[in-house]
Amino acid sequence: MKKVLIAEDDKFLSNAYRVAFTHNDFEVQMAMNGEEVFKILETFTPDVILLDLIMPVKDGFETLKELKSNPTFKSIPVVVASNLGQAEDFEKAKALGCEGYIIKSDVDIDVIIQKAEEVIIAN
Amino acid sequence: MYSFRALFFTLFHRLSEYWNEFLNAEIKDRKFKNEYQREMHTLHLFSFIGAFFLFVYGFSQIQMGNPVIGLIEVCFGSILIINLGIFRLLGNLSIATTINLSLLLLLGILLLSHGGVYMTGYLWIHAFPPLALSLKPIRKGMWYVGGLFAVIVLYLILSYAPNPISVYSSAQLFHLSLSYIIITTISAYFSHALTTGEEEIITINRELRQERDTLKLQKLATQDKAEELNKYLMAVEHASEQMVITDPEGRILYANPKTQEITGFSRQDIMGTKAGKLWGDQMERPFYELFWQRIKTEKREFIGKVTNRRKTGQQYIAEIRVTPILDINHDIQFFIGIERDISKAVEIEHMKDEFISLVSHQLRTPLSAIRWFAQLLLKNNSENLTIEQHEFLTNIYESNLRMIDLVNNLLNISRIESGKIVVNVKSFSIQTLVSKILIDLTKSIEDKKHTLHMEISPDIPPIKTDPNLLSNIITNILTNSIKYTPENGTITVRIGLEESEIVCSISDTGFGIPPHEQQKMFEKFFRGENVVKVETDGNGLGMYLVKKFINELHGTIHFTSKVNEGTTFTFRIPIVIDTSEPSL
Repeated sequence: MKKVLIAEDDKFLSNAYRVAFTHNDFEVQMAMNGEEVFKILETFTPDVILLDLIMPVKDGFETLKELKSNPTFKSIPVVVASNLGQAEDFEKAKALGCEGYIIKSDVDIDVIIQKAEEVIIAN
Repeated sequence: MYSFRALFFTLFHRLSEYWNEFLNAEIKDRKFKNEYQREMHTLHLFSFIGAFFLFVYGFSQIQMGNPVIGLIEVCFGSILIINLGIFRLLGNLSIATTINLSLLLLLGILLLSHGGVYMTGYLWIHAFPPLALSLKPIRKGMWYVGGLFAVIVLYLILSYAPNPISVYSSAQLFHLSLSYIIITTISAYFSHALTTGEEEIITINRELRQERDTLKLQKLATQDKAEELNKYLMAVEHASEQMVITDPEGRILYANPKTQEITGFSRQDIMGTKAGKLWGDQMERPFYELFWQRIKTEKREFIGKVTNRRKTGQQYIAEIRVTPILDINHDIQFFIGIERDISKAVEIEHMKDEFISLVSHQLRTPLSAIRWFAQLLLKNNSENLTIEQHEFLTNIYESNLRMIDLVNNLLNISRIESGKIVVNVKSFSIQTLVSKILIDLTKSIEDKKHTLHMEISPDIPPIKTDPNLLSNIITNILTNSIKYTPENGTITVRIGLEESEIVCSISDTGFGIPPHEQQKMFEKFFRGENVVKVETDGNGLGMYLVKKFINELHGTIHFTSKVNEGTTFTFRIPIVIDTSEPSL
């Protein structure tokens, strides 16, 4: 079973993620912020991490930076799923090493699932 | 300085000025004219009295048997009257003096032979050279003087003959010729002095006049300059920006009142002090190194943003321009610094950015949730939905898509208008880009049962431009074509490469744009009056963005359109063909 860790602070979106990914045979773990991502990673090794950028406590950029500089986690592909759509956000996330960047409002949820699957296969 | 000659001439000139001007009849001033008339009357009176007595005396001498003496006296009287007449009638001094001198010469000859009244001829002859040389120019005057001298010499020679024709003795005539030469010499000298004095005066006058004109011009120029300088000073003093002049070391020589207002430092604090010790020195070392390198070493203008500090300790952001002023040897004379407090503008800009970010994130998040839940219901639970529920959900889903589209467009406009669009040039395959767009639009094409013709050469190699902007441009035009073409329409997309431009034309068989509205095509919020009635969906931002994006890519766009026949948009964007990578 494919495993996904989703960092999303909005409870409605979290809910949608959970439903959609579960429907598509994913084992889903949800984190509300960056801190929680690392807490979950202690016990759960996902095939892909879906990461929001604007989150409380520890934001997505910081989390991404830490993930990619951590030897244990840097091999886990990260897809940034944010509503920040400015070129500089995109470039910044790319520079920090994310494997994909999606603007949430521009895509249906199955496109995100498709992207997560693509990234897992590519990895 | 006046020489003796000039002084002499001036005195003489002043005396003769009235007379000459009267003769030349050039008196315009009434007051002077009256004065001349009075003198004229006096002159007339004396001339007539003189002439009267001379005539009476002359005629009595003729009657008394001294015809020559009498004739001489009558001649003298006549000279007075004739000269007066000529002066009055002709106003010509030259003719008057010629007649005068000729008569006097004749008189001289007569006087030499007859001695005049009581032998006064001897004295009268001495008066001839100064008179001739003062009334005529030296050369002409000398002819008359010389003529009389020749007669004197002739009389002197003849005085040794048995029958002398002069009443004077040889010794007297000899003395006369000597004294005549002396008087002629003195007269010639004074005449020469008069002439050269006049020239000198003219030269001096001309020089003085030139000097006066120059001074006048200089004075005017100085006045102009002073006025201009005053204007500049006023402009600087009342400028809305901080202006500072420093010496090459940066010590402040001048600061306008705005400087005090912005920084809070008084004039006493500022003068002679370096800005670094007042409002500056808030930036990192490398900034100031770069700053001094630029203005002092490279001697070029520095423009930049800098954080400064007011006297109160509060920091502010300023936009500064510092220009070195160089002398002819290319050495720095001083620096001129202009600073503008842009703290408020920076704050507003920051707020605007935050607003964009807020809209971007906060508005899109609930929109994403609506989209996803609607989609989940439509896809995963469609079997549990009634037809009506399915339809309602589809309506929610599509309205939400419109909302997302509007938010995206507003964000793009905000970015464009604040100059925040970043053109990200990459190498990509135009064929792949177009097929992705078409996949996204397939559903809407099928929904309206349009036929799509696609003409794109598979030979176009990878190109370099901004794929996102290009995709946005094609999507926007194509979305409009699909939307504003009635069902069963035909949409044709042609993409080709012409030299270093990608040329794309998108045609439809749609409603078209009425001719009178065509010039508004790329305006913000424009929607054709014919389509507003047919399609309520649309925000009038798509084509505005298309034009802006094409401008960002240095391209051009034009269109042809006929109502109810269709529209063709053609745009060209300069690209670079990527030869380094194989086609994707």
